[in-house]
Amino acid sequence: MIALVSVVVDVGIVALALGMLLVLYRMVKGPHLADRAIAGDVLAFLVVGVVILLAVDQRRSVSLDAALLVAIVGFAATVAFAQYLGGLTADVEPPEDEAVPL
Amino acid sequence: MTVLREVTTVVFLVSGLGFMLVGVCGIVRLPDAYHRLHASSKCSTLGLLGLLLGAAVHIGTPEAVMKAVVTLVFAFVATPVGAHVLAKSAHASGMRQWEGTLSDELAEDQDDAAA
Amino acid sequence: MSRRLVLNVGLAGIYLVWADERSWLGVLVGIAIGFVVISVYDLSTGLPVYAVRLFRLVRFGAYFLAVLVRANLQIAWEIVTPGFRQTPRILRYPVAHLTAVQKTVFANCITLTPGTLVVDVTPDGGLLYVHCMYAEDRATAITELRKLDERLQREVFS
Repeated sequence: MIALVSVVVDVGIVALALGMLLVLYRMVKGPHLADRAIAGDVLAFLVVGVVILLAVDQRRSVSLDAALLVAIVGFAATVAFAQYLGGLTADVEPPEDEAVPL
Repeated sequence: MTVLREVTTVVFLVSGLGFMLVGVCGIVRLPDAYHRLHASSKCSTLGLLGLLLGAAVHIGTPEAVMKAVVTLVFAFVATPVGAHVLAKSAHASGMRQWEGTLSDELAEDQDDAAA
Repeated sequence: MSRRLVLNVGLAGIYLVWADERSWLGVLVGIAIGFVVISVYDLSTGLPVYAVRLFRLVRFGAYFLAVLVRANLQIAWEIVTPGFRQTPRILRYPVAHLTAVQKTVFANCITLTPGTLVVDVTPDGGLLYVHCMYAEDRATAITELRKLDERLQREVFS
């Protein structure tokens, strides 16, 4: 019974690795830059999944910090890529900042 | 009790993994970038939810649950926002849509504004 | 509502530190104490009872989780069946009646519900452009969005 979780973790890491290969295929093939950006986004989430599975395997919560970190870096990378992509053709003025009532 | 916990962990982990892999298949198979964003935003969020709940149940300490909750809140806020910025910039950079698209009111409005 | 929720959790945290509790029972007791304090305070504000609003929020959370699972199953079904049966459109949806934070929450909810994805928002924040996967009939898709909008206003923003 104890081995069940570790079996799931092993199979899961292999499955996520296969998923990464599929995402890399989309990243190489993607007809448009946006497709490659989406592939990068999903790749970051797959890495987060691997880190969480490692945390489950070690049974320590320290690795969950790494998961949050990878998620934040992936989000930042997505936003940066989108900025680059949006600036390629259209040059739009950002709207005025307003005070945000909570 | 421990058996129940094992089973809960396994159910959460397997469902999370399944949804993540569905998202990956969607990335490969769906026809244009908007459909791929549909797949990536929904499936990544739910997959991360399943994996984090599984980890929290398995580890079971208060720190682990707190970290899982923080990561979850971040994921639920950040994933849709990432999808928004990607969709907006894809549209702005003139990405061609799938030929089955029926209407594009954003492009119509932009043409009206330009005219 | 969001401030009261934060206050509820904050009071629980203060109780945990103050009473030197480090157990799950302590967390529950702290949340219960915060709940009672806020409920008593809200009796004087004339707003709906805190318990009712908290129940509505939790109910919306459950509904939202179910919708998220349904969205995933829909995508999965679309992937495993051969051929493409989508009828996508990009639609306008007016959101001028919401504040900035409510617009953000609404846009995130749209993206996580089945078949819809926010593409853009006008610079003045009056219109949301939504990519709908199944929008053969434009009016039906708009009605679906309006239902979510009304539900959010009733159960979360009240």
